[in-house]
Amino acid sequence: MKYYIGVDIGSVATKVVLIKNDSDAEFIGGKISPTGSNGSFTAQKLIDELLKEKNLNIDNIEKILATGYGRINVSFTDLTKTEISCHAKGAKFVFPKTKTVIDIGGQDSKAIKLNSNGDVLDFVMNDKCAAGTGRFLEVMSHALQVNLSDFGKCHIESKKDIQISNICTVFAESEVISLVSEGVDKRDIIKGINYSIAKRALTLLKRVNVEEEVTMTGGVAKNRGVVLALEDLLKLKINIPDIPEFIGALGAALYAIES
Amino acid sequence: MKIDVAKVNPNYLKKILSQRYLYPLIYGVLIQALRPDEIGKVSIKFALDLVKKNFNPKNKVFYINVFTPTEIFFPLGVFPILPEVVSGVTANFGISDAILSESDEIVFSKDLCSVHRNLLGLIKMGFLPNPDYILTLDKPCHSAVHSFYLISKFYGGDYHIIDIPEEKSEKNIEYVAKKLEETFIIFSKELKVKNPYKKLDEAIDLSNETRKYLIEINEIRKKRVVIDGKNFLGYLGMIFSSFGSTYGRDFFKLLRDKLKNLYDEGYELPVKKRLYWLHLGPYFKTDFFDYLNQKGAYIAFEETSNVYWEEFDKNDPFKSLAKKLINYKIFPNLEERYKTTLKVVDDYKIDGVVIFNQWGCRQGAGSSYLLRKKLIDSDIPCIIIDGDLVDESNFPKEQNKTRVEGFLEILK
Repeated sequence: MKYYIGVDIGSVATKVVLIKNDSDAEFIGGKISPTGSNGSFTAQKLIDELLKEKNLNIDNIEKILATGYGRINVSFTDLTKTEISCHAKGAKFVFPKTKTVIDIGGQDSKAIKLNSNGDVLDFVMNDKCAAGTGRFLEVMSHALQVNLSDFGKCHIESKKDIQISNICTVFAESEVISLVSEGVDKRDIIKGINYSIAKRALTLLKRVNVEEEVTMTGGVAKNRGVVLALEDLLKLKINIPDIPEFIGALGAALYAIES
Repeated sequence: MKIDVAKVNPNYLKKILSQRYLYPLIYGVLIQALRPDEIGKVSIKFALDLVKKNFNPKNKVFYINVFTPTEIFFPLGVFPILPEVVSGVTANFGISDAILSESDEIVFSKDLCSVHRNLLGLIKMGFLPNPDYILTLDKPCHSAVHSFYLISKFYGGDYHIIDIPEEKSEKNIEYVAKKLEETFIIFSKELKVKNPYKKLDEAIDLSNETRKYLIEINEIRKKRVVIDGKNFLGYLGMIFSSFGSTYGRDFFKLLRDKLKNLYDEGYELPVKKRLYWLHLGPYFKTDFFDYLNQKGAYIAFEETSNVYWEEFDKNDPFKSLAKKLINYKIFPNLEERYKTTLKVVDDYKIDGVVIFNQWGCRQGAGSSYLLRKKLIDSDIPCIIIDGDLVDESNFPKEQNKTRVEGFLEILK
């Protein structure tokens, strides 16, 4: 049995995925942890924990491939690939009919266009600020004193449309605080925030000429509200993996097989 | 060593730079410190002669913007200052932070091109001699008419502008030619230059010779990548400011010789992907280009090295110069840029196109997404890198590395 590991060292979280490749690749398990100040160290720790959990050791691993912002100069592998290619690979593996990927991570978001073979045809990334990323949601969660995990539920319960007009994270935070002080229902504000993220994602998707099927990856895909908002704007259904935050690492592990 | 420009007394600096006898010494020190090759020596000599000329209180100081034909100034004994080029040089020296802060007092919006914000700060701080005359074109750079106007209002200088019509008609060529000749006559009278037309003849000859060398350089580059185009982005100061002078001729002749020797020796960079680079690149120190090289990607050609103009006719120099200005292919309209890109992709066997979006540059960034779409629709891979030429804080280095690496991964 051949085992491979994919590591995604992102700005917020580090993810590690273990797969085995017999005739077909199969997901065995994954681990996630805040990246902290030393992504390489965090990743190594997660690898050790995952292997221990699965009663394996490093000698059982054929190859490790790293992706994410911390991919360069890691101690455990020379194999790297950008998160653009890895998210595309992972999304295609989980949803084979994927033609467009929208990945919204901690500090960046990207739209990726695939051809029918799953090769990346084109991609665009967010511009140089936190607008439209997970960081934006974290700041808003803090400002509203509402857990991020409740954003989806609040979105569904919302009765009124509120528009968050600022895209700058800092200015949007002021806007949100102002709305709270005006007595606006937090659930309506959250829906407005989710739509704000979705609109940024929509712009990226349009730039790559979005085509069905669309798969969403990255931690923000766990926010049901953002998904609903984006589906509403796109007027189509979006594939959401069970483990959207692990898709980059999964893609990395799949590339490890090919490398 | 980084210079704290805020602590430098500009008056003291100007006093030193006005001492003509110091220049051989400065040249010697620079040669010892930088150890340039013969090509570098020419550019250092040119820069020092330009500084010497302009810091001599007896001489008139001319500011012109990039794209203004320098061929009409060298015959007048004028070494025009191109503030945009100086702006790039300060970024290269790593001293633009303080200068940009200074410019914030004049220009409130960070949305304006940093090259122009920086040059305003530079002049405000007193590091450049105040201009006596200012001449700018209104195309292709849209910012110069505004920043140069501000310079004339705050720091003096007769402000002249030549508008370049969009339509490439004979009538418009005649119009620009007339404007150029009028300007030449006004300045030659002001400076009491004897036989200006005869001297213009010489400048036109030198410009044609320089053009010929640049064409030869480009022919070599079509065949093989012997020098990375990031160097040519750095040579831009010479492209913009030295045509019509012996410095320009010598610089590009030596550069041609260097490329030819490398080519004849069979040298080639370890190129996996050949890139075409549109617009300019960051002038501050960055490992971005080294990162590209590590991935096997090299700039095979860049927009600014395009020789798109015909050889100048000595019998009708102003019309020749006008044709060059009207038919510009650097930051032209969308269709022209697209056609030029298609030709370059074919000529230089380009694998992918990189469009550098200079923050605040309307003519460059304005249509970049449309250009990218047209290229992708034509099966030419293209990426836009959002960044800045001068303001390092506007260049998200790590994100851009990921973007460009992702782009390289999708190139076949």
